[in-house]
Amino acid sequence: MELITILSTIILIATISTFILSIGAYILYKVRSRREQRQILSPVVNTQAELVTVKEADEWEELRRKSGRPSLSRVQGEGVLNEREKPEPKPVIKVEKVKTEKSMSPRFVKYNPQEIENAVGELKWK
Amino acid sequence: MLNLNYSNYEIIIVNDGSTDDTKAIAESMVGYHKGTVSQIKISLINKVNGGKSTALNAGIKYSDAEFVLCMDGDSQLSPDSLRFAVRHFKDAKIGAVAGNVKVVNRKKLLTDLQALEYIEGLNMARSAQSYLRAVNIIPGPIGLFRKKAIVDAGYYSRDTFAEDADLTLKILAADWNIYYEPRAISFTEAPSKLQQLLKQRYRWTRGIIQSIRKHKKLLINPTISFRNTAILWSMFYEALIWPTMNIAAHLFFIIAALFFGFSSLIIFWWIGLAILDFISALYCIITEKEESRLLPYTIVYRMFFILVIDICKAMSTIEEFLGIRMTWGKLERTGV
Repeated sequence: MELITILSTIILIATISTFILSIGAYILYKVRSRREQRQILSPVVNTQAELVTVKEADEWEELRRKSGRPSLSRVQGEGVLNEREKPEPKPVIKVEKVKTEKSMSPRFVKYNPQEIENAVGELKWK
Repeated sequence: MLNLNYSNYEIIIVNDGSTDDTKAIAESMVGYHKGTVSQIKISLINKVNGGKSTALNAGIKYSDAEFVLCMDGDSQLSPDSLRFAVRHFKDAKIGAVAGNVKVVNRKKLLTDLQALEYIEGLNMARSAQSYLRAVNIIPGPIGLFRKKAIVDAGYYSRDTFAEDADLTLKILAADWNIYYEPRAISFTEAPSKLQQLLKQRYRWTRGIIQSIRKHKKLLINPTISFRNTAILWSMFYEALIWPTMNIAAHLFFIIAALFFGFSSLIIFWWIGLAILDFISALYCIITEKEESRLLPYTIVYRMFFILVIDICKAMSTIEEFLGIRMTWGKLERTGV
C-alpha cells in the first residue's frame, strides 16, 4: 500500500511538472516565433523562375516547332493543365528561357495562376 | 533517389527560393545519372519562394508522367518504396498511395518518442484506414499519386497549413480511393528540440483544423459520402476531442489527488495507459520489424509525451478558432 502511495506521488509530481513544462514551452515558443516573424519581414525580391533540364531529342524539337508548342514532351501535360485551370482563370506564365545542356529550348509554359497571386513577386519561367 | 529499384522514373527537384546553396548543388545534379536499373533524368525548377504547395504544384505540372511521387527535401526513400507503392494503381479506383514514414534521427529521447509515435500512432491508424481505402492524410515525406487524381482534386492549395491533409480530403471527395503501403518507406528527420516539435505540431493542428473546416460540408452531411463523413469525424476526434479528453482526464486525477485525497487513482490511470500502449507498441514493433529498444518508452509515452503534444494541440486549436495569424516558420534541420 505504501508503494502505491509513493508511486502515486511520483506520478502526480511528474504529471503536474509536465503540465507546467508544456504550457511554459508553448508560451516560450509563441514568444520566440513572434520575435522570428518580426526579423523575417524583409523587402520582397522580384525573382523569376527557371527550369533547368537536359535536352531530350532533336525530333521533339522539330515537332515542337511544327506544333508551335514549347516541347512535345509537355503537350499532354499542358492539356491536362488547361483543363484543370478552367475553374480558376489565370494568366499564362511566359517561358523566357530554359537552360539545357546542349542548347536553349523552352519546355514549360504554364503555371497555376492562384499560386502566382499568392507567391512573393512575379513568377515567370525563364 | 537514384537507388530506387524501379526502371522508369525521373526526378524533378523544386528549389522554392532557397537562400542557402541548394540551387548550386541541385544545378550540378541536372542531367542523366546512372540509377540502379536505368538512366535517371534529373531536372530542376528554380522558383521564387511561394510555399510548399506552390513548389509541389510546379513539379507536378511540369511532370508528364501518369504517377507522381511527392516527398520532402529532408526525407529519404527506401530502395523498394516506389516498386511497392506503384503496384496498387492496378486498381483503377486508387488515386493515391500513402507511404510509411519513419524517423531517421533517433537515439535521443524526443526523437525516439516520435519514432514510437509514428509507428504506433500514425502508421497503425493508416493501416486501419487502408481497409476502407480511405487514408485521411497522405504524409508529406512520401505520397504517390495518380496525376489524374491530383488534377481532379485541384492540386495542392495554399489556403491551409496542412496541404497534404487538404489534398487527401480533396482526393477522397473526388471519389478516389487511397491505400496505405507500409513497405513504401520514407525516412524523415524529426524535430530534436521541444521548441521545434511544438512548432511542427502547431502547424499540423491548425492545418488539419483548417482542412476540416474547409470540408465541413462532408462532415455534417453523410448523404454526400458516408465514408468521407466517417473519415472527417475521425480527424475531428483526433484533432479536437481526444486532446481535450486527455487533458481533462489528467486534470481530473490531479484535482482528485490534491484536493480530495484520491492520490492512488492517478497511478492506476497511468498503469492502465502504459499497459495499453505497451501492447499496441509491441504489436507495431513486431509487425513493422522495428527496434525493440523503443518499447520501454511506452512508460512515459502516453502520460508525458502525448500530454505535451495534446496541450500544444489544445492551445493551437484555441488560436485557430480565435483566428490568430500564423506563418509557416522554418524547422531546423541537421541533415542526418
